[in-house]
Amino acid sequence: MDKRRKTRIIKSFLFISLLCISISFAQEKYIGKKGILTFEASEKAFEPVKAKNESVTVIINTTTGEIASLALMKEFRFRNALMEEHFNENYIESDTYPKAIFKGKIAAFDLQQLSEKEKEFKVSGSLTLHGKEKKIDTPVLISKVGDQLFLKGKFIVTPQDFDISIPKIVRNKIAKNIQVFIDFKLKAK
Amino acid sequence: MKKKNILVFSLIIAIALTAFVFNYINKDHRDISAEKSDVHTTSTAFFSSFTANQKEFDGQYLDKVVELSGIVTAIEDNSVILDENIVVTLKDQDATTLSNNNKITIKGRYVGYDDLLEQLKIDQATFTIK
Repeated sequence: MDKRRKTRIIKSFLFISLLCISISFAQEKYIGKKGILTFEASEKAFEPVKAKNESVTVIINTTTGEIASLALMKEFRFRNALMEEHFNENYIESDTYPKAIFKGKIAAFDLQQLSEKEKEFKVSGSLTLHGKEKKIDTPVLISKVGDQLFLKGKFIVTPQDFDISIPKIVRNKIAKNIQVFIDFKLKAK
Repeated sequence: MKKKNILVFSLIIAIALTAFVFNYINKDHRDISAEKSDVHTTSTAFFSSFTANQKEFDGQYLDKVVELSGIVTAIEDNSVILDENIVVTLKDQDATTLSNNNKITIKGRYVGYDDLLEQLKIDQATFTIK
């Protein structure tokens, strides 16, 4: 074998292996930028306390099962403008603490096992908002259609978890337990 | 007669007060497109002033109306990316009428920095093509 042919073979081998590496790297992450996160703290007979954020970012590393999600507080929209103002100024203090970040892991995550049928996984991690961190353990339902992942779930938090005090005057209008609903759609990156 | 005057007067006060409270409780959401913008600059200058001092930047611009000119580098659903690092979510307009490399000016509300995407986010925006 002459030297030129040899280098050509080595070169093409290197090129193919690099290509494989870049493909595998490219596919190990799924990203969603328009995740929907809703929370509700309504009490019967009072005006619903409910807000929705439709621009939540979520990233899943499919090789490790790590998941990270970020929601900007100012993007939570209430039907009532005054409620939105109070949420930002008095409770969540979004000027000082503009975002909520969740970092965790999906236990026993395996991309190969996903299908169009929803499968339950356990997620554990920490949610940081209003300068406080809280451990969250919750089941989520994950399905896969084409190159898209769908992740749904709900969990409960309380204002005390994050050092948010509710004034006495509105205490009976806001539920003690706040329900958080997530509805994420991710695409292979 | 005097008694009647007092009665009418207090009734008017009561109605005015009720109307005021009602308006306060049910006030409208901000109309970002109708507000005066606090800053008018290019998207690249906006992003570099963020990287220069993140804390100060947030204190200055969070929740403020900003007007930014830049080049469209991506279109995703109802969002437009300006110069790769600013995500602009449109309010009513259709993003699909735009295409990459369009020079546009947007007006919207700065809502914060997304650490995961490493992008600044603007919402409730309107745009004009230059």
